[in-house]
Amino acid sequence: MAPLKSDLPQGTLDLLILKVIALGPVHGYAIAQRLEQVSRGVVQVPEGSLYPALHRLENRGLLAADWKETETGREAKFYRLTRKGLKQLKTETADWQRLIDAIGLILRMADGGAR
Amino acid sequence: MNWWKRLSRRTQMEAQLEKELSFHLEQHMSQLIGRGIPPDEARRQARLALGGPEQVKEKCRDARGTRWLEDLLQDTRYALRTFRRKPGFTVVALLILSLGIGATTVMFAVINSVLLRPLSYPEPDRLVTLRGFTEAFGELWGCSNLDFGDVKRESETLTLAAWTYGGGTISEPGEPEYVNGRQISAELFSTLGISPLQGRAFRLDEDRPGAAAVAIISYGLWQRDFGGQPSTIGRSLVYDGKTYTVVGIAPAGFQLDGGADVFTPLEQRQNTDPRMQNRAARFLRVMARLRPGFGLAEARAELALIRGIWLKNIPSRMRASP
Repeated sequence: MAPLKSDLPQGTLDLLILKVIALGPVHGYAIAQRLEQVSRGVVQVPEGSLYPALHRLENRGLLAADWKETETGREAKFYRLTRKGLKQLKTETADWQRLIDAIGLILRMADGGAR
Repeated sequence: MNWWKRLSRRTQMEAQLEKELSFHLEQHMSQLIGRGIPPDEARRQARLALGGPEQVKEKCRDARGTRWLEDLLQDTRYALRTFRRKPGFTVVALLILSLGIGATTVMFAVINSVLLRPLSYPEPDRLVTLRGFTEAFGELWGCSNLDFGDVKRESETLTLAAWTYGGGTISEPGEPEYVNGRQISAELFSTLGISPLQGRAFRLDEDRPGAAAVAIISYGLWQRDFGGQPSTIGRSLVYDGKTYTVVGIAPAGFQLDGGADVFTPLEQRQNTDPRMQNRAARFLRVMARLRPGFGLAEARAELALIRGIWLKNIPSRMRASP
């Protein structure tokens, strides 16, 4: 049975892409794969928005790219994080953490708390 | 970065985009084939998952598009600054700014120095004319009143003014005399950057149907019929059978394609002159001045935008006035 898939919350795709690329230079197809594997298939990566996002991040100077050979000898575009990208990743991770902590607090609120 | 480099970079970018996406599709396909899916079906599924390679490419171009445009604008600004120091070049630059606006294309052209002679106007290099252009007739010297109104309302880079020919008999004061006239929009004097010699230009609220009948007269008429009296402002003039109040005297030598003696507000005739509501009647001369801080590149970009809005909204009206 196919696992349930969730759409990504608005604005989180960039953050997830930055996180995956922070682990080391990687090409677009592998980014899509890793996002799906790591999230155990829960996060469905909209491939149609993956590449525009990569190009946008590259254009903003958060990513840089080089053409390199893969293990199978094919040439592919490998993305890596720039210093600016790393800074952005840290900021966005902290923002996201704060947000989920806050949402977690609200959701864990005792029943009486709502009254 | 020069143009050639930019163009070749763009071509290179396209090629790389193509390569990047086909790599993705092939990787996905070979994975699917590895799971025992037949190649044709694997190709179909991979393309489907990517969401239409052409659409993705378009979005990638958009993601990069702004920087390219910014670079272009930068170059254009630099070019215009250079042109300003070399007036001969400006003429060429202005003439090539042709803009399509639906069936009517508005076109910038250098203001005709013959048309405006002999007065000189401040910052003449910021004065432009807008011209109509149709598939059938090519470039026309004029624009319709509806086109003029649309561009005037929408434009933030240009102040626009329009005028057209007129004429009639002055029956008072003095001997009855046929004179040439001009119907002008309220913004004409300010767009040209001049003031009447005496009195004032038309106010916006006088340049609409039902407003009081006001007129500006030429220096020559002022001398002939009013004896050059300073008290002429506020006096009446019977022109073409209608009584007008003189509110201003034009500077000596003021011409709009030749001399004229009586200037009246153009838009007062909106409901009485059928041409005013006919988009096919391109009888207005439209002049414009670039607003401070805007160059021709911005004006051109804006007119292209306005054209886009027209194309969306206007077809029915265009058909109504073939």
